[in-house]
Amino acid sequence: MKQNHLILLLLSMLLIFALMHCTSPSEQATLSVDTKQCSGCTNCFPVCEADAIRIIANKAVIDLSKCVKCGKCVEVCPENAIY
Amino acid sequence: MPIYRQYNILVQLTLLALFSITTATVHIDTRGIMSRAEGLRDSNTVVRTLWSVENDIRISIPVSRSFSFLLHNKTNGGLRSLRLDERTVPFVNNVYLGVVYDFVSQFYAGFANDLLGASSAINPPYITDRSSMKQRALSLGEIGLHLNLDKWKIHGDLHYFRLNYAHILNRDTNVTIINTNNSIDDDLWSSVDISFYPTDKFHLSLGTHLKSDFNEEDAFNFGQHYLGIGGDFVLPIGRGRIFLPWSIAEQFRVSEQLYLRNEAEGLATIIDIRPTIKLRKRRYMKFAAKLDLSSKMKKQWYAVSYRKALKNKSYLEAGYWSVSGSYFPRQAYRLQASFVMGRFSIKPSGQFYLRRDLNNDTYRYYRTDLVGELLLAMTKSTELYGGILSSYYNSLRLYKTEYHPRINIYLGIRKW
Repeated sequence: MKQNHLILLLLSMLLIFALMHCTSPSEQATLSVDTKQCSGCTNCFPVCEADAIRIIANKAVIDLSKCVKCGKCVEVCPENAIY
Repeated sequence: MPIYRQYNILVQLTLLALFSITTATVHIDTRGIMSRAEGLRDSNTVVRTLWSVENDIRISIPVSRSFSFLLHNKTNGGLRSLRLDERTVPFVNNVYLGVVYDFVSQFYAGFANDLLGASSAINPPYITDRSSMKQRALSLGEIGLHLNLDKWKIHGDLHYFRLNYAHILNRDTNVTIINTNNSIDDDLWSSVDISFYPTDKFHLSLGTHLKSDFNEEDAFNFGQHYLGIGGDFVLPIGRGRIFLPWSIAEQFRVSEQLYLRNEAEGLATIIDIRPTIKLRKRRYMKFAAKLDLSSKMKKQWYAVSYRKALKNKSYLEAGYWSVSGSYFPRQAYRLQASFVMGRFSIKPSGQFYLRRDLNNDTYRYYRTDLVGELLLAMTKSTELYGGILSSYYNSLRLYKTEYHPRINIYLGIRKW
């Protein structure tokens, strides 16, 4: 890895780290699935406590009306697509 | 019908079946897994080892140039000792049958079903002391029409789900089932998406996604409507090395449950940009930023990664991603690589997580995932693979145990 590229990567990480601290955790936030990251592995469906996840067109879809935000789908997703 | 006509029909059907089988496209992925994990039962730490086999077969059988049958079978079963008195069988079999008709666009229809009324035993670890759990079996019927014209794309889909589940409630310390409740959940998910492409690099889109719940009346209906623009172009700066896919959409969420819980519903702005910079030959930097902004939510998702492609399709990659303003703010650092040596490939990777709870203003380390995978290409479309996945939780409220390593060892064969 070239030195310039490494510096660029570290600066990007620092910028994102700084942006992260502009907002706090939010109780009102809902969960989302990033469809570009989701691989359709179906790991999230069996762990959902509220039966709020369906696999449609090989992508996970969350029923926000049923989601109880237990966080299990966030932890089991291998692609970090649920946030 | 004269006997010779019956004979002709039989021959024609046989030839059609043979033709279909010989031209079928088959994808198979089979692997055996040994899982070891710690769980919590009656305040004591329990170590469990599970042996299981997973099988995934997808077959596409073309009957004519534009008509094909689909078969998808997923099986998961093994030696699982039942930890609790739950009604379960250590085997799950799901079958999907469908048809696809490609003309100027595509029409599809399909049906899927879990062939057993009860789902598999739930793997440890999970919270066992005085907690509840569910066993599920899902059936699906779907139909859709996708029109892909020159400047227009119009997609309409319907998906009907029936979920049979048993909800086991309120077990006492001796792990006895006190109450069970067999239930059925029927949902209809429908969507319409329309996109207009005036040029190759710009598009307008609008659509609606609805979910109708047939069991809870209107209380759990859910809808999302959106209107957006997007594009994919090369920036005039950087000597044509910066590629920028982007999209901005206004989304309107309608849900009585979100309103009652005071969660983010109503109007929201979704911004998604993912620039890629080609630094040098075989070196790339990728950025991603996704913002979900509304009056009750300022959720942000960021990612950056550096990838250096080596010779023989090998590569090194370092990445960082983070989520803020959500219910589960997290950050992760990732290192992964792939080394190709003739027919062999080695893929080590590691990912380290930090998270912040609602009542904590600082990020703390809590999880490490380490993976080592070895692949052997037997032919151009067949490979043997094996690997080890280790997940270590430093501390996590979710699992109520302090030291929580999980190890999965798997060996399988894949054909496409």
